[in-house]
Amino acid sequence: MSKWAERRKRVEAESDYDPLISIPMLESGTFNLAQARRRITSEFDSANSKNITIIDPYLLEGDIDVVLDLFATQPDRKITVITFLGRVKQDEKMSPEKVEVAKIIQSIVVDIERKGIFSSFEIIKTNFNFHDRFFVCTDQDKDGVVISSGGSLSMLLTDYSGLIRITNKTFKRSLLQFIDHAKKNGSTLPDFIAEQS
Amino acid sequence: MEGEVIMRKIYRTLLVVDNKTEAMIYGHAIEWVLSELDYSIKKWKSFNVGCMSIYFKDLEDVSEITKSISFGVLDLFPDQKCKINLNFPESESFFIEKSYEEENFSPFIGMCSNAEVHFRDPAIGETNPVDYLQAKKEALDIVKEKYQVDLLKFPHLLGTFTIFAPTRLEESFRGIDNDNVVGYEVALVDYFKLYEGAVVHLESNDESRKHVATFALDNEMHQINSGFVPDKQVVTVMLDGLMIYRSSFGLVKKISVNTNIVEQKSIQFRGRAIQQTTSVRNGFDV
Repeated sequence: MSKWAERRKRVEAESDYDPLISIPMLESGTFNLAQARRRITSEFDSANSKNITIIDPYLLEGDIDVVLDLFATQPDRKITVITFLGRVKQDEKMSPEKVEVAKIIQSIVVDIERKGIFSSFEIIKTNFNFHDRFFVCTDQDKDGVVISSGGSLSMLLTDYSGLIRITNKTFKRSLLQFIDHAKKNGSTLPDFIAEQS
Repeated sequence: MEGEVIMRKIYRTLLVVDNKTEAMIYGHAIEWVLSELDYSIKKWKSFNVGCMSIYFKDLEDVSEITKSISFGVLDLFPDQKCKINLNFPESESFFIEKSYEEENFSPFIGMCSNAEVHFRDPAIGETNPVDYLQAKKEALDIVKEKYQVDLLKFPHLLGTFTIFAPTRLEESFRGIDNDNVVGYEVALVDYFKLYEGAVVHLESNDESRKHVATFALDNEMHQINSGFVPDKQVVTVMLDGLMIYRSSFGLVKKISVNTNIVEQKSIQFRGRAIQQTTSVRNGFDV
């Protein structure tokens, strides 16, 4: 192979930039959080994803706005959020009790359903803790988009957190297993609230 | 001699320079026979796209650049101290064909070309070419839009200067299936009469058959009764034993058309407007 051909092959092999395998804050140019988050939206929109599962151990009231920003761009979507409702420190204080957060979020979910923004919006509160965050398309008719997020919904793409697109089929199957495990070992938000009352 | 037309040839030259390092990050000069309708730019013109400067001119002689490559510096406007760093220690020559198997950059789409590339390796010092291209994306998008040079698509062109000598042949091709001819018709037109004496070789294939034909380059439309409409066709033109043209392509026998019907609606929710877009896709074959 000539030096030119070898150089071309090498440069092309290295040219694998993917906006969904990235730390957007480190990319050149002015960082814009809304634009960076729109990468996720564009990917799920262009794949016409209908069933989307969000996996995040933390879920706060404000995170529902993030879910709407990311995925309310197309109608008739079925959204599932799997969360432990982990408590976080806010202004040196712990976030409210889980059941209190659950009640607030449930009232927003009811409003979202009433407005028909999603065809369904279900939140599963797991009875076990977990760590990693993902956005998963579970449409059965396609090899759906799966993105691992370094940051939770409230911190998504801030503090140099990144995204990693997952294409590995074995790992995708593991995530489906995790979703199934969470549903079997968790409660819907209304059930969780009832259990705690 | 009466009736003889002297063709004027220029080198249509484009240089892209990084304003910070003053290094040429891309350049090309295209050998171009001027038709009566072609314009010619006699003085260097410049255009600024933020972190990049673009320079273009139609050179009478490309040695203005190639000599500078050997010196390592190009002095475009001596009175303005506009010096461009040229660091292209390597060079190679090759032929660019029109191929469906490999997409090659050729500044004039649809033409085969001889190319003499001058390059450096690595392309951008210690910076990874991908990181450089992403960092300069905004400027490079303008270069692509204005000059049809897409460095993001062809990153291997970063850190190169290429002299293209395109073959000015135009091919037309069409499959035929009627009572008289089953095969195809093809013409190769040499508008500038640059390749007199050249020979055209044709090779057609479908799943199980192969057919070859040859004719002297003559600008005429030739009907080839190969007995089948080819799935794959290779057209080669040889002049004095050298290949000056090669195209290879597959014939489309069915086209699938997809239509998108887009609907939008706005939902008011807790003081914000949520915009939703529905795209209904339909597909059919023609």
